[in-house]
Amino acid sequence: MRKILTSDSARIARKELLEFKRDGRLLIATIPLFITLSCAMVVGGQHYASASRGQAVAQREERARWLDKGRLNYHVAAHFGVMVFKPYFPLSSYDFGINRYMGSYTLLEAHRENLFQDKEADHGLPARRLSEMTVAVVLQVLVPLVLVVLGFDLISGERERGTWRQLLALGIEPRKILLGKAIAFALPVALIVIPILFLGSSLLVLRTSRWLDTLERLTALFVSYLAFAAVVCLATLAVTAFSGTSRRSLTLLLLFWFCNSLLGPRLAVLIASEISPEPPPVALQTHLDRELEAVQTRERLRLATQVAQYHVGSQGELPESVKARNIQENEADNRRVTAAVFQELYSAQIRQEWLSEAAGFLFPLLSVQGLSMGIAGSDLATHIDFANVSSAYRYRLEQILNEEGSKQDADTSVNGRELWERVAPFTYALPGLGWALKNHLIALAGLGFWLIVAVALSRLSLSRALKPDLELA
Amino acid sequence: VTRVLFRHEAGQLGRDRVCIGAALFLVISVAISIENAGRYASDQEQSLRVYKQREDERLGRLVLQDAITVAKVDAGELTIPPRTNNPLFTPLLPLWASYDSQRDTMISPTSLALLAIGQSDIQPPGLRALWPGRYLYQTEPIANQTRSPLRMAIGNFDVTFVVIYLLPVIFIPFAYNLVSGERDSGTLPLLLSCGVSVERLLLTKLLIRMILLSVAFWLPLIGGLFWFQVELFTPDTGLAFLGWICFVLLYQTFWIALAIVVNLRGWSSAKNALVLSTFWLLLVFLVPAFCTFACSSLWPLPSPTELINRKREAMLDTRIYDIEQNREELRFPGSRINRYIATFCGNHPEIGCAPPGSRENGAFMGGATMEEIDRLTSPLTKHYDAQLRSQERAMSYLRFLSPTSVTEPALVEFAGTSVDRYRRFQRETMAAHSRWRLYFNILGYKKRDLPLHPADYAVFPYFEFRDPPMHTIVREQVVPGIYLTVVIMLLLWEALPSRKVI
Repeated sequence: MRKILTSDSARIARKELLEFKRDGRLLIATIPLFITLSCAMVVGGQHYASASRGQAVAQREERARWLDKGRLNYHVAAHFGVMVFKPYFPLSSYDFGINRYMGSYTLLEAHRENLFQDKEADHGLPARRLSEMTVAVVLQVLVPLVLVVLGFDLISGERERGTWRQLLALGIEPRKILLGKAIAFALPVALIVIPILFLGSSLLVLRTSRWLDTLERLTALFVSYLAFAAVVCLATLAVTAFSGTSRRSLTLLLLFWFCNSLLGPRLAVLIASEISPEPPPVALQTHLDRELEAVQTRERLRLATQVAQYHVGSQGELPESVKARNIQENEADNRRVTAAVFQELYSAQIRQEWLSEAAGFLFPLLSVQGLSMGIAGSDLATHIDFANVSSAYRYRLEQILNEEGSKQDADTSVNGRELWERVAPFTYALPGLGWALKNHLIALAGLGFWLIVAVALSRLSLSRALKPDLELA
Repeated sequence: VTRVLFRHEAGQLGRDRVCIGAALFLVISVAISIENAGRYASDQEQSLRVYKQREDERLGRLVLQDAITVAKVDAGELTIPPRTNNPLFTPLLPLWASYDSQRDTMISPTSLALLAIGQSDIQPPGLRALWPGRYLYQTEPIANQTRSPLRMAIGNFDVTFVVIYLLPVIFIPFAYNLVSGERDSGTLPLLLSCGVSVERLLLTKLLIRMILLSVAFWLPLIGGLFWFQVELFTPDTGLAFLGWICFVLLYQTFWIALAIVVNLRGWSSAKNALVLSTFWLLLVFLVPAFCTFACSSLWPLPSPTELINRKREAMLDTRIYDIEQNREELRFPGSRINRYIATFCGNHPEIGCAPPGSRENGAFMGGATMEEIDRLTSPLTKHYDAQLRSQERAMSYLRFLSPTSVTEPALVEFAGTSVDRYRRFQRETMAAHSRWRLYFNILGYKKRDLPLHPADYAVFPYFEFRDPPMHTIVREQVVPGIYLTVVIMLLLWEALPSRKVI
C-alpha cells in the first residue's frame, strides 16, 4: 500500500489533485455532482418504495375485490374484469427508463384488449425528458461532463505552460505519468459516486425479496457504467494528449459531450423513427376500430345463422351454452385482431429501440442507456413482456368464465366465489438478467466497440504524449 | 473605422472554418427540426381529419337508420319492445343514443405546432367518452400509447430544442474570445491605439457574428414556414408568431449580454469558454431540472395506480356493475340505490325528479351511481388537484431562476403544444361529458321508451374544443417577457463598469 502511495503515479496524481483544488475546479465540479447524485438516489429510492408499495397494495386489493364481488352472472363478472398493475423493479429506482412514458395499469375485461393507461408523464409538471434527475441521467450525462472539466488540460495544459518537457525529463515512464493523471481526474468522481451507489445499492438489496437477482443486476449495471466511464476517461486523456492547446481540447471534449448527451440521442431516435415509423397516433386507433367493427360484423352474421339454425326468434333465446360459446369465439377473434394491431405497433417500437441502440456505435451514451434500462427492467422489452403475460392471463380468465357459462341453462344464472377462486391470482416475474442482456446485444456490442476504440486511442495518446512540443494550435 | 473593422471581421469570420461549420450546422439543425415537427403536426392533422370524417359517416348512418326505424314505427310496421338492446332499435332510444351517438373529442394541432412538438407527443390527441357501457373511466384517451416511449423519453428534435439548447452552445465558440482573442494574439493594444474603443470592437464583432447566426437560424425557419404553408397572417397565428419571435430574440439577447459581461471581465479565452459553458450547463440543464425535481418532490402527486385503485374500490362499494341487483333494489325506498338517486335529484333540481322512491327515477340509476363514485373518490382527486396546484404555483416562481425555464414554456405555449392547452382540453371535455350525461338522463326520463326522431339528433349537446383568444395567452407571457428584458438590462449594466480587458 505504501509502495503504491509513494509511486510516481501516485505523486503525479497528488500534484494534479492539488492543482484542481487550487484553481477551484475540484469543488466546482464535484459539489454539484455530489448534490445531484445524492438527491437522485434519495428521490429514486423513495419513488420506487412508494410506487412498488402502491402497486403491491393495489394488486392485492384488486384480488380481494375479484373474490368478494358477490354473486354475479359470469359475463357480468367478465365485464367487471381484473385490473393489473405494472410492477416496479428495484433497479428502476436508478433508471426510470420508459416507465414514466408507458401506462401503469390496464383493465382485463370481456370483449376487448386494452392498452396500458395513464402514463406518469401525463401528470404533474411538463415532462423534462432526459434532463430528469435520476441516478442513470447523472451517471450518463453529468459524470462525463465532470470528467471532461477535470481532465481537459491534463496534458495540453502542461504543454502550454512548457512543463511537459520537464516532466518527461525527470525520467518517469510516460505510462506512469498518464496513469497518475488518469487517477487524478477519475478519483474525485469515484470517491463521490462509488460510496453513494454502494450505500443506495445496499439498502436496495436489503429491501428486496429477490436479492440474488438484484445483486446480479446491480453488478451488471455497475460494470456497464464502469465501462462507460472508462471510455470517457480514456477519450479525455487521448484528446488532451492530441490537442496542442487546452482551448482546442476543451472545445473538442465539450462538443463530444454535447453530441453524445443531447444531440446524438435525439437525432438517433429521429432517424430510427424515419426508418421504422410507428403508425400515426390516430391512424392506429382508426385501424383498430375498423378491425373491431369487422369482428362485430362476423359475430352478428354468426348469430343470425344460429337464430335460423335453432329456430328461435332472437339471439336472446339461443341456448345458454351456445351463447357462451359465441362469447368465447368472439373473444378469440377479438384477441387475434387486437394482437395483430398491437404487434404491428410493438414491432415498430422495438425496431426503433434497436436502431437507436445501434447508434451507440457513434454515441456511447445510447449503448449504456439501452443496457441500463434493460438491466433495470424499465425498457420496452420488459413492458411488452408484461403486456403479453397480462394478455394471456385475460384470455385464460375469459376461458374459465365462458366454460362455466356454457354449462348454465339461463342467462339469469349467477356464480359465486367458487368460480372466482378458479381464476388464479395475477403474478408477473421479471425474466432473468440473461434475457435482458439478450434484448440489448447491440448495445453491449456498441459499448464493447467503444472500449476497444478508447483503449486504442489511449495507446496512441501514450506515443503522442512522448512528443513534448506538439504544435500549438 | 467601424466599417473597416466590420469588413475585416467579416473576412476573418469567413475564413474561420469552425464558425462557418457551426453556422452550417445550425442551418441543417433548423431545417431538420422544422421538417420533423412540421411533418409530425401535419400527419396528426391529417389523421384527425380522417378520424373525424369517419365519425361523421358513422353518425350519419345512425341518423339514417333511426329515420327508417321511426318511419316503420310510425307506420305501425314495427313495435319497440321495452328496454331493448336489439341492433334493430338501437340507438333509437335515449339510453342507447347517449352511448352510440357520442363523438370523440379531438384537439387539433395549431398552425404553429411545427415550431415545437412540446408535450403533444405525450398527451393524447383525443378523448373517447365512455358511457354507459364502461364503468371505470368516463373517457379514455385515443391512441395514447402509439408513439415510441423511447422517443418520448429522449425528447424531440424540434425548433424549440434548437433555440433552447443548441443555439447557446453554437453561440459559445462564436463569442468566447471577442476581446481576449485580440489580447492573446497581441493585437488589442494596436487596435486601441487606432482609436477603436473596446465597446466598439466588441459590438462590431458581436454584430457580425449575430448577423451570421441570425441568417443561419431565421432563413431555414422562414423557408420551413413557407414549405408547410403556415398562414401567418390570421390574427391569432400572427400574434402567436410575433410572441414567439419576441421570446426567441430576448433569449438570444440574454446570451449576447452574458457574453459581453464575460468578455469584459478580462479573463483568458479558455476561462471565458469555461465560464460560458458552465452558465449554459447551469441555466439550461441543471437549474430547470432542479426546479422540476424540487416541486415534484415537495408536493408529490398521488400515483395513477392509487387513483385508479380508489376508483375500483368505489365501483365495488356502489356495485355499479351489478345492474340487475340495482334494479331489484329500486323497489325498496330506503335502499342504497334509492339513496344515490335521492342525492342525485337533490344535486340537479332542474331535472324535476318524481317523488323519492318512485319507479320513474330508475332512469337516473347509472348517473346517480357515477356521481356516488365521484363523491367517494373526491378526497383523493381533491388532494391530487391541490398538490398539482402547489407544484404549478411553486414552479411559476422558481422558473425565474433561469431564463431557460421562462423561455421554453413560453415558446411551447405560443406553438400550442403546452401541457396547459392539453389539460384545458381534457377539463373541458370532461365537463362537456358531464353535460352530455345529464342531458340524456333528462331525455331518458322524459322520453323513457319513446323513440328519438332525427330532429332530436340535431340538438344533441356536442362539444368541440376551441382555444381561448390568443391575446389571453399573450397577456400571460407579459411578466416573463419583462423579466427577461430586466435580466438583459442588468447584465448590460453590470458589463459597463467591469472593463478589465487590457
